Amino acid sequence: MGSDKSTVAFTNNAVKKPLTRNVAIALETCVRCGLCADSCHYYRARPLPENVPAYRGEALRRQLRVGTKANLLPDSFAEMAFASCTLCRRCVMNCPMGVDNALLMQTARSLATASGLAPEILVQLADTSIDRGENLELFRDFFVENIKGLEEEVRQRTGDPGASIPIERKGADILFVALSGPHSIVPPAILFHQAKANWTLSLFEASNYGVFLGDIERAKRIAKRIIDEAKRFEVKDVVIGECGHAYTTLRWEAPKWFGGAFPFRVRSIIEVMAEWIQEGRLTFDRSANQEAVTYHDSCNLTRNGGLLEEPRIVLRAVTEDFREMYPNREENYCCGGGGGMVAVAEWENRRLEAGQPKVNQIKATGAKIVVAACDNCRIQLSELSEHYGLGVTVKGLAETAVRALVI
Amino acid sequence: MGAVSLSLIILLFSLIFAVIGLSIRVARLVAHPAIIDPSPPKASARKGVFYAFTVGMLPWKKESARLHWLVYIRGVLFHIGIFTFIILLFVSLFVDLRHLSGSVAFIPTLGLGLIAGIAALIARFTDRNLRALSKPDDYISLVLINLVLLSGLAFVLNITSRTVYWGFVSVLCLYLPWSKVPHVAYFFFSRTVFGVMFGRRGVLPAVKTSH
Repeated sequence: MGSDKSTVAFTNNAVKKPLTRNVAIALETCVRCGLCADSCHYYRARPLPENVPAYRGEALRRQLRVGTKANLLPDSFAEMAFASCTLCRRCVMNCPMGVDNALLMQTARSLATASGLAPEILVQLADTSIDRGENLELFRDFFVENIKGLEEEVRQRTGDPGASIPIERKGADILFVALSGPHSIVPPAILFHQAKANWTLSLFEASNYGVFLGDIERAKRIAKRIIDEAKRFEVKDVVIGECGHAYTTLRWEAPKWFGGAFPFRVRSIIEVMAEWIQEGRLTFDRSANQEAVTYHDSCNLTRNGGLLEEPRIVLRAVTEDFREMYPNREENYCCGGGGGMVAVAEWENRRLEAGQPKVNQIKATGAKIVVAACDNCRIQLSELSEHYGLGVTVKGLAETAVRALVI
Repeated sequence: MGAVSLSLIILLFSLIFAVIGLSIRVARLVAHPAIIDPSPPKASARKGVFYAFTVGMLPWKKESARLHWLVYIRGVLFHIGIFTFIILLFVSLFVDLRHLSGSVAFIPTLGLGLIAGIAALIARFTDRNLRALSKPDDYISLVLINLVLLSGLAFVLNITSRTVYWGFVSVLCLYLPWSKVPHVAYFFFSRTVFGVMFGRRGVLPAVKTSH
């Protein structure tokens, strides 16, 4: 009984796990009205039926109906799951029924990954993170050495020879989890220094490619490195650097995997900055950022993460000419770089094409600086600027704030 | 046994069958394991759910409705027509409406619902996206509901008897467990999940931030 046998499929051969109730609800509820079409940036860029979110959901239903045995999944299914949806949830906002198509695409990704059809680079990146967690001794010295170099930059920029980037400091209030690269460590380190925060830098990077794979087991192992580190140092807050999926993963998803709340708060550096600005712990000279600035809402930070106003509190405090894109906040368009797309070279053309709605939004603001608080978004926005001749500079939020910071 | 009695028995059997079928589908749905979200909420799940069923349903709150307001209105009229036929069905079990002057009250909503239903069916055939999305059930469900609306209209206009109306309702009820019509129940699950998620995260309704 049921209009679609897939909807009662309780298990799948490839994942060997029951579908969760929320997935089952999303599978059952779609009435194929097609109203989600225009909400998708892929459809906006190329209005074809296969770019309608409901169409992709239907592909998953078909696949579940026939059952998926490992290695028997068609390549086209994997491509649909990974390369035609960035899990941005804009369609969810616009569905009259509230069908969570992103959840369905995460399920599709987990099927593809279990069938060995996930993009190799995403698997490698996830496994590298896991290796790093399991072989900490192999890279610790190298990491510490690198941080010493960055510490020097922090000292120069703050003018304080005592400024530091603390590592493995037990009893710190904050464990800051950055991304790979100095750009995600130095500006926050300057802000922490200026706010006199008691913090320590994580030995691990915030990214979690297990999430992009729809592979909860991998994602758990990657997240566990940070959770264990936070427990070891007995921190009060884990603060995630400017990364959309890393924040949403640890803040909202990981507690579900581990079956309970963590003994620390998970926050974004954006929340912390906004809080310190409101508390007067940081002061800025807005004239340092006189150019027109617009802000790109990362889907993971905003629609999936709930950080709608915090980045705006920061930008209004540190820039003179802040201009909103329209639509913005929970109605923002995905830039096209989410869901792991920026990591997969062979999908570059598709990614740049899907970024067209965002390009139009940026153009309409007239701003020459685009601030984004997500590394993947920044990569994509920079490439969009080059590809479409936008001529904009893409910057991070902390970087923009530090530029105006009164030291 | 007269035609009215026989059609009434068939109708009641069909209604019970539909209710059992719908209950089984809902039971199967809730048998799937629920994942409890232990993450500390930023805002209220309850407010999110309230939003999902109230403000969140307003057309100006959704870009999809703002861009496709005709489709939105069509959907609203169609569903008002469906609610009308349910009320009509209930009333017709006790009263032969042909003898009541008040029965004309059903005509506008049934009529508009039927027009909207026919428009929806035409769109299923003509719109490229809908054609690609549609499964046989999308056409069958729409045709059956349109026939129920048409027969209901014919009944209140005194063109046909209520047995014809009951007959079409019976067919719809017998098909219902295999159709997409149970979305009437799933809607509440889906919007609740939507409201809980976006409510807890402080996305809907948007949270004014003051740390």
